[in-house]
Amino acid sequence: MAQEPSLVLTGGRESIVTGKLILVGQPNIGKSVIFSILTGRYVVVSNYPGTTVEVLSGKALELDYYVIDTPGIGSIVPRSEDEIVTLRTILSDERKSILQVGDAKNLRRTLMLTLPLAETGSPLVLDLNMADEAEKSGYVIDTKTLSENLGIPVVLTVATEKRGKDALLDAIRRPSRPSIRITYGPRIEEAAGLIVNALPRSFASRRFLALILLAGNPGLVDDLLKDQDDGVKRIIKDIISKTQSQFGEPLSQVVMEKRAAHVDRIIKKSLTKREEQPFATRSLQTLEYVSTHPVWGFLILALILFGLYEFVGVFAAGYLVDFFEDVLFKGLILPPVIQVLSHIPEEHVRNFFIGEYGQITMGLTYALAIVFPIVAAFFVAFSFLEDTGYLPRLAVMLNKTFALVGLNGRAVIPVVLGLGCGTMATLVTRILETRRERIIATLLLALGIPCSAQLGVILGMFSKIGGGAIFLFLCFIGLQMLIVGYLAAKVLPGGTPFFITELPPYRIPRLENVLSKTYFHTKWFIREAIPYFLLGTAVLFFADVTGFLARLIDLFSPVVVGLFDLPKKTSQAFIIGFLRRDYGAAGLFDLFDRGIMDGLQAFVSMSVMTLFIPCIANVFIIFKERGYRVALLLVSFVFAYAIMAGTVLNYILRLLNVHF
Amino acid sequence: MENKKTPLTEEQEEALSEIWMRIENRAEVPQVGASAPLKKMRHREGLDELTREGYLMVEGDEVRLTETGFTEARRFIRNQRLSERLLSDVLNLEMEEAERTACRYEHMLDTDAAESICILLGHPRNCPHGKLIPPGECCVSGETSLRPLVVPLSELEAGETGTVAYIGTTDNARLAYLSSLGVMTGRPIELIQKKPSYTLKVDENTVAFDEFVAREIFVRPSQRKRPSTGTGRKFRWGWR
Repeated sequence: MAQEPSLVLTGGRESIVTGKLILVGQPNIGKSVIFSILTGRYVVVSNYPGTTVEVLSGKALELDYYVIDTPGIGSIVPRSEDEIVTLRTILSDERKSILQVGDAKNLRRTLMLTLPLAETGSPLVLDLNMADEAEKSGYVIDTKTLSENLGIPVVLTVATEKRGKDALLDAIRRPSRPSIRITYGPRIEEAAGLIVNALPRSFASRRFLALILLAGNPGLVDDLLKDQDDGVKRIIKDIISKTQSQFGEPLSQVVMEKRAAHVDRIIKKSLTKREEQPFATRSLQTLEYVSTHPVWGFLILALILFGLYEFVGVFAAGYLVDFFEDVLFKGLILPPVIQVLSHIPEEHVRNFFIGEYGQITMGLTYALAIVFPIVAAFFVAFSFLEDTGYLPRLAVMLNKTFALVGLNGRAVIPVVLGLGCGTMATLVTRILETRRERIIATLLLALGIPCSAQLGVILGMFSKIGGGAIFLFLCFIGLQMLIVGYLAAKVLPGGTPFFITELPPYRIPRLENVLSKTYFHTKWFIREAIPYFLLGTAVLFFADVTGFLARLIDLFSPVVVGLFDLPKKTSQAFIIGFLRRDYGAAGLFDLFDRGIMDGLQAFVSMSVMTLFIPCIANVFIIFKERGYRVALLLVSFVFAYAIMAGTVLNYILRLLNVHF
Repeated sequence: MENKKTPLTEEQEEALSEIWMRIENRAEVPQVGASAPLKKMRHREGLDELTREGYLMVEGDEVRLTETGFTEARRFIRNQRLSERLLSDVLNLEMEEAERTACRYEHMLDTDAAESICILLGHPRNCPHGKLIPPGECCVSGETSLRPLVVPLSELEAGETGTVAYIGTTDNARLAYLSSLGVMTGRPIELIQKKPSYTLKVDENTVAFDEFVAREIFVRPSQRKRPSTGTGRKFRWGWR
């Protein structure tokens, strides 16, 4: 079998576990919420498809199961890496039960997944989640009939409110193997039988796999049977192509139509709809149309961006940072700490903590006074936005723009997430379908998308330089991304893939979810950032003490002073920038604040820092996700490009005699 | 009358058209209440059933068209003669062959298809034998632009509805994804907007995609005519 997906096991408490319970379902229907309820583990939950890109697992609190949460799958035939991960998880183990989480108001769609899942032969439970939305849309579901027709327990839940939890637990405790069995006609059945025989006996759920292979594209055999010998793969491919030649239409259509016919029959028996539509749904629907409208949609987008700027840039990066830095840190916390520590007799040790490059005076102060309020504010705004369901609409609005750089609207999600944290975003590029897209998205994220911490610093600094500078900055960075993306799309083989996405309904964000998500993200970020901040400060400290810093600064000065016309001291910000861009940016902010740089210099240095290589955690992820060859190429390209673009920018601005 | 919806069998259609032609042979213009002699009828099988269902009335040795019977007969004759026209004019078949072929598929034509043929041929008045083709709605309104019955979704206008005819792709993954979203043969859809991306409503799903995909989804539009200015949308400020 293909390699086991990496599982993050938690718990550690010794208990007898009878098996695995795999959560499977379409994207954005609340699998992760159910997972949290079952295991008590917190996971990030949002209102857009593709929030979960990794397999998570945990011991269930009230059941003898390890619960495994999988990335959402659009259909049983996988399209992208994360969907393949889910399939591998389903195929990985004989002793498993499956809990399908489905959308109650979208019974047809849910059942289109239930039928193939039933083919695994594993015990199955169907949880129809978001029952409240189904009710609001006027659907009445007869779970008893449904359950009888499928031969499995069916429960209704509203996971976000923990409604139906007991019934769900109950259903999981008495799993049953589905009784429904579809026959796909003699030719498909024969082919499926042949594939089942060709597959090694070690495979669980061979009929299930055989039907997926039949309905998939030819490349799927290689993806799903990566570790099998070529003979097996060749035999299976032969069977598939022979079968396909007997049909006029693609095999997936033959299979899907059979399933759809079954689903129709089941739905006729178990679903009724009341006609009237309550007012609330209708007004949200109107909003739905307006927000993807070619004119109004862009106005709304502009409004959202403006709101984001006011909240994160003006409020958080301005007032909050001032408050944290001047009032809290410099006014309250630092003086007593410095007083205590100044008693340390050894000069170097003292300076290590409270000197110019002190762990407390520089490292912690930057992290907690500047980065923390900005990151927290960004994630409040971002969590709110993603919980409404706006992000997929953004994908609809920006699809054509993204096509210019060889991506499509789906890439909006990693890119926007990149404004929060580039490391997370690089992981999320897995939802993109082709390797080409993933490389381009990773490149653009590394090159020009500042993370929230850096963004806050940028906004904070530019709000002091002036509004025109922000506009110019956005144009400059946007232009670089267009140029690089366009060229990358030209250089990398393959075409721009088609774009299909589903638009989830708008939902009113729940305050507790927004807050807990902000808490989770911010904690993650701070935990990720502080060690590097401290490490960076320590590196600077030792480099300073040993005199190495002076030499390093000398080494950098031809570039920094010669090409960018910046003060020599900015070198140290760029040196830290190798560790974290946001820390580097904060250093620049500080230099500007102290009057060491003028407006133009601040503009140029911040532009270079934005294009600079991303933080070290992100670089690690790039290596892990893209392989060392691509990663090495990406990182060195970004480094060289940042220097080149900065030089050109500086030259042009000085030529035009621009002042800020 | 309640049974009006059960489709007529081929024999019944043939019987109705025979009555029509016998009326014409008497040099009468077929109309509601026109009658033809019963005894020479070649297609007798369907007559009883047709009478029972209210298409015909038998009076002595005459058989008379009721209103429903007349409408059905007229529709069928129209389809038949348009088919002959199409086959002989456009496909250049010999008259005899055209007639034979027409016989085979005239039963399958529906009113929409007939109208499309009529527009395509420029509203012909006579069949190749010179008999009158009963004019249809399209002839009255003088429609000249032909809209095919099945069009790619990209040809629809925002706000239009229809049913999916088929998905014209060989990419299995895309096909599977679209069908899991409910976009598959026979499903009713509503096109919400075309710009900046196509947005489609099917069941409870809203699905968005680009033009490339829109060209692959072939649909049967619900209304024959293009809606002049936005029909059915509650909401339309500068929609399209």
